[in-house]
Amino acid sequence: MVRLTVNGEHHELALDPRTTLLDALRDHLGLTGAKKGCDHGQCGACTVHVDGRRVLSCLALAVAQRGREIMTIEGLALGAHLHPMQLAFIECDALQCGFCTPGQIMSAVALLAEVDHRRELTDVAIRERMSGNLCRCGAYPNILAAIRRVRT
Amino acid sequence: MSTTSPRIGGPAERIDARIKVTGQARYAADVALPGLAHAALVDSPVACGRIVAIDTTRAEQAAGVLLILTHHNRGPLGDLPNGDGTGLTADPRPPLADDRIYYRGQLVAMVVAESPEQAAHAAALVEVFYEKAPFVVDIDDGEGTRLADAPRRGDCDAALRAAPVTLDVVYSTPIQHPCPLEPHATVAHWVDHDLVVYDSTQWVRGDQAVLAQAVGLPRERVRVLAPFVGGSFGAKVFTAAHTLLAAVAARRLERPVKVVLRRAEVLTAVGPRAATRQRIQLAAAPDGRLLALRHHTRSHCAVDHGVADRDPFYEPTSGVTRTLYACPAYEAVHDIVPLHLAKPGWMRAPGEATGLWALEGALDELACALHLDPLALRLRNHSSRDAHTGKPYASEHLRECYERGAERFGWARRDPRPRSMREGDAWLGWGMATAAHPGNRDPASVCVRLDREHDRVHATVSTAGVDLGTGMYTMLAVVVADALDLPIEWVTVELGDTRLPQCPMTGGSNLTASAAPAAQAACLQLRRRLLSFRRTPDESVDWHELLVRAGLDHVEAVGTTDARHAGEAHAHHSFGAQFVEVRVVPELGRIRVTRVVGVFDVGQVVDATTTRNQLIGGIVFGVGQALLEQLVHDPVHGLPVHADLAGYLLPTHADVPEIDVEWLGGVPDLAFNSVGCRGVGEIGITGIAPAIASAVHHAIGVRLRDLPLTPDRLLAALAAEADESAGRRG
Repeated sequence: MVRLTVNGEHHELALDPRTTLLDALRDHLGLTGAKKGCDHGQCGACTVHVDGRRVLSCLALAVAQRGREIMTIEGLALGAHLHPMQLAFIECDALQCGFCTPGQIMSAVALLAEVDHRRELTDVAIRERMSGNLCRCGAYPNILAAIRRVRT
Repeated sequence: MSTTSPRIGGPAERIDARIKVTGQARYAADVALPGLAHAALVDSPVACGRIVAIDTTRAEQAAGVLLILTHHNRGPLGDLPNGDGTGLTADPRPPLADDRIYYRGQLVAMVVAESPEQAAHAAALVEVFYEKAPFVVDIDDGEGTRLADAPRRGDCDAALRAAPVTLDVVYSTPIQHPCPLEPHATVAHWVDHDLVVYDSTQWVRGDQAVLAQAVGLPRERVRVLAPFVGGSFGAKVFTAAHTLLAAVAARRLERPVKVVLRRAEVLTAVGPRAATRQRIQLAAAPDGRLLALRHHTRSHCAVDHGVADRDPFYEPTSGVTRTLYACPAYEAVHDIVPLHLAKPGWMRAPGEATGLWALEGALDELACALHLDPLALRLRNHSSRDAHTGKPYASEHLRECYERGAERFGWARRDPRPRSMREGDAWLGWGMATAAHPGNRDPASVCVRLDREHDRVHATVSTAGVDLGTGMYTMLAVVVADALDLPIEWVTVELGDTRLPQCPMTGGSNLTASAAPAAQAACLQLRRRLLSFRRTPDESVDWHELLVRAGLDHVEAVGTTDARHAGEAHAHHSFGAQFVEVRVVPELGRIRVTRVVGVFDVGQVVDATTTRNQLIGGIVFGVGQALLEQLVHDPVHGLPVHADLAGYLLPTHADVPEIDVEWLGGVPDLAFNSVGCRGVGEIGITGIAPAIASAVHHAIGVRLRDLPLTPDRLLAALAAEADESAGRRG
């Protein structure tokens, strides 16, 4: 049995040892917010937090996550109260098709925790640090605007 | 909650944003059903030949395997709609039809197992033996066939011979791919002998028609749902092999089956934008007036699959070059070159994004040759009518786009000399191009239902059209809330289901112009019906009260948009002017886009929020087209060199600067439809690549005519220029 702690809840799952964290979340826990865009760690759509850091869940094995706190997009809001980053994404229309959006948001939230002083995050720095999250619809300028809004 | 109703043209909040930022929007691959089985595909690693044998013994013995479909056991599958317009298929033949291989990536088997891991493992155990045959995967190696359609006007030969100024240049575009972030996915499910399919598609009705014919059911017994689609850009118009096989497997197993393409399969089995080689010949007067334009395109197509393909596809480059500029003599010829690759398909602005790359590039060269400002050259050749048919545009404001764009960009300050702006280790360059996309519209029906609730009404808008991220949910909500004076929160929109009223595919920037007027027409019918229950014509009374008086708990109406017809007096077209600044470091061959301004004439904008995002998205797509994207095939094996996102490079956050987009207000195209709108999904991409190349030339004086503008090409062009000038000195 594999023990997973996801969004504060404990789960015991009988998993094929080949199962990635992404597939465990999507196929075994019904948490389909994280997306599989490439399955190679090249698009960022599967980004979740593991112990507060952003991780590409398609490149992580589920069995290796014992004792770690995993957070997905479904766990980001507090009940009906959206996380400020989710609100900013809505206000800045930082999405189109929405497929990359959970990954963009999880990445953006973690990014703000990666620096000691948020004001060091210039636009250039944000763009660089977000470049692992592809958005084929091209909503990048609005995503940047959303992150800027939460940064300040 | 706001209590005011939104107005057409104002900014609304995207109504599906909340479920998208919380991860609750359900895409095809997110669908879970009891007893769901998972499929994995086996693709051909050879580009041409035939299957000599398939050994599935080891795969069948692998844990969890339920079914392996090959051409030996696939069972009967009906003919596909081929050229009748009801649906489109990637391959003209049904999948797993026989032993023949026409392209690398063609499906040769599907393995279904209890889990995705088991299916993937077993797929790797299927042994296929091939007999290889010669193939061609490079457009420059193939034989072209001339298409019969060769639009012409005037006498190009005479004008080219006699003109004081001529230009003869070849521009090229590589194979590029729409590459939506959501890989194609299908969940097929048989319910009481009827088929239900959750699919990643931009055309549920097209899917329905193809599936119904393939599995031998009347269309009404096939239901296709696509409430959310993770981008498409043309890649999900054609119903593909995996969707048909999922239906076959689910029927055989009496279990729902899910299949999700791997990224490599998206890039090899789903049709790309065809490669093009475009020769542009221009004849001009010394003042820049065009006297002749000849456009000769070679683009690739699929090889003959042994059956007539009545839905062939090639990159329609000349659609825009024949109409855009006033020019008395015009001629286009098109040669298609069959290659052993997946049949090319639509990619955002097919024809415009490639045709304008060539034409706008050539015009920039002509401007330089004549010492004219590129913008002045466009103005000199401006046409207020379709230059080919002579039909006047019903609403055309391109000059204002040029003027407004130039002002926002600061174009007047441009020193025309290359290497005139230095910043640190880089040269800055400014370029511009015209953006253009035809107004498209197709028949559509939209149902609006008004329900009486406790103390208010609630509207439900429904149509089969699909929101690919384009904003259709929001736009229909805005149209209905505007027409019925409702807060937008009182409007629900249902899309992407064949059970809903008929709607065309989301393609060709047509959906807003098709569905928005139909929704508005439905609302007008409802208004008329309910207002008849007023006691006096000027009585002020809300919908809820009128429903009470009418003794109804709901009313509904269906509005329609009719088809275009050839006898229309006017042409309908969107335009734009795009201005770009680049930063070029010649020592590194590096080009970065630092600023983009786009001003567009797209008729009446329905919703400012989603329109802005669409126009920006088109521009970002153009940056990818210009600088990054190409699918390269190894000429020895016919394999793509890099069928993943580390090799097929999409623009990232770091590649995209601030983008300033604006559209002209007060320019509704009311002869086109009652809202006056034209679609905005594609026009954003159309002028970006030529504007970038023009800016690169302005930065460092080097002309690049082959996309994408990669560092190696820039360095080679600089080296060639250095050799040439050394030669001149020597």
